[in-house]
Amino acid sequence: MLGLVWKDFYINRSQLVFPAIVLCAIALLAAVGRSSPTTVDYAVPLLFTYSGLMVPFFALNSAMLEEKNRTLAFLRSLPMRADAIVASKFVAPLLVGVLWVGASALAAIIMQAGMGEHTVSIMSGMLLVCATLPIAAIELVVFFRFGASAARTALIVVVGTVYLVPLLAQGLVAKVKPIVVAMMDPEPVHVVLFAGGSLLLYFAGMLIAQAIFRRREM
Amino acid sequence: MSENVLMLDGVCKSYRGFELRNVSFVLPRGYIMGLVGPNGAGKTTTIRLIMDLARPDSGRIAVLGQQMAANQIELKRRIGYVPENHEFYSDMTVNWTAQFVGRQYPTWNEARFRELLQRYDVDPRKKIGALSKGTKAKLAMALALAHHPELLILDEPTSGLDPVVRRELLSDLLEFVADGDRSVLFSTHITSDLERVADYITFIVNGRVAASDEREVMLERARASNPTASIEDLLWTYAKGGH
Repeated sequence: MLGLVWKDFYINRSQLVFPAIVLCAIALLAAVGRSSPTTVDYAVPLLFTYSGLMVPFFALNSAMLEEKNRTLAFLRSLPMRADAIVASKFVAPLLVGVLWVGASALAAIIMQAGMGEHTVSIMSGMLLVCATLPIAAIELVVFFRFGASAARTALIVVVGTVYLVPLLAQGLVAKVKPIVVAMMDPEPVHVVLFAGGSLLLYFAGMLIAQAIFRRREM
Repeated sequence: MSENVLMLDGVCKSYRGFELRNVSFVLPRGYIMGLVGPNGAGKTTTIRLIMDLARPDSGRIAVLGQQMAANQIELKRRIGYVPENHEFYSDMTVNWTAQFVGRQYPTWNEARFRELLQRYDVDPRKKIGALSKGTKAKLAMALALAHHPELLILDEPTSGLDPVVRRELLSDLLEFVADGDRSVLFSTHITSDLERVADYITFIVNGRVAASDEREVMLERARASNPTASIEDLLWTYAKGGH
């Protein structure tokens, strides 16, 4: 399965280049002493945006490339387990998420060192990446059942729904607001619990996708 | 001893608008079998069922004496498979594709693969997306042969190839079975390919096996009534519902 994970990284490597450049630029600017409250205020939303995009978009791109090349049948014809093919599609985006959290944490630490005070919560970035795991899981389950176009639609619908539900439900916005505020600087224990729950949902999604793909005819 | 490397017994599979009915045939070890039939007759479906890329509604399929579904990895390591459409990662090079495929086979022979690429005139540095259909077919063939399979399963391997490469590929099939231990199943609608290399022929027409036997036996039988009968004549007869 490691070969399949590496294959996903290699084939989708172009998707990782620009975020890596952005992180390096932020870290470099901070390292040469050009950090200021204004630049931090500017950089943090950018890091958060990328944190929200990395996992679901890597998974989606990987699925779309597989469909564009029609290579799922090619993989199934090779001596490898159908479950391993599915697992690699889940493990690769997860590793991207872990790498992103690590790299953005490093960039944040460098920024903070330049500022001489605590300005960016590393935990909140991690929390955001974890929040995207169940979304990516839904997207991949849909991909293995209906294909990449449906997975793209699922991503748009799920993200929209997650955002809209509190707005539509009367009185929920007020209840959600303190949670969002707390998420900006969460307690480590909350992060661990949230990460555990997200991973559980993610791997439950993987099991469902494996069951679907085992039955799927090429 | 005549051991069957492939055995299909009463295999049925239905899709909307198409039905494969009661397909049965055997391929003994050491021989080449041509699966021939008109377009849409069920050749590709039969091969997909053998490779466990689709599941039969009923019937039994044994590959190298075992059920594919229960022994997928072991059996697929012993099979070289060339599908009808050669699907690889278009942005990747031939070299990368070979490395990726080679890692899946413990018996992968890099030197043999390089030799085949050279013989088929495939540039290993080229991206898959830049290869013609014929070159992709040659690459698929090289990938299938480079791990020394016991059984080659080829779906329309010669379609899209120029006559020179086609002849070369057919000679490779003869060379492949020369040691008497390896076998080939290949589908085609080009009957001249069968005249050249097939020991056994299975005719598939409208989703059912119209006939399956040794090529020479079939031709002898046909020539009893028509001394100039060819495989193409046989296919014509079966396609028109004759026996």
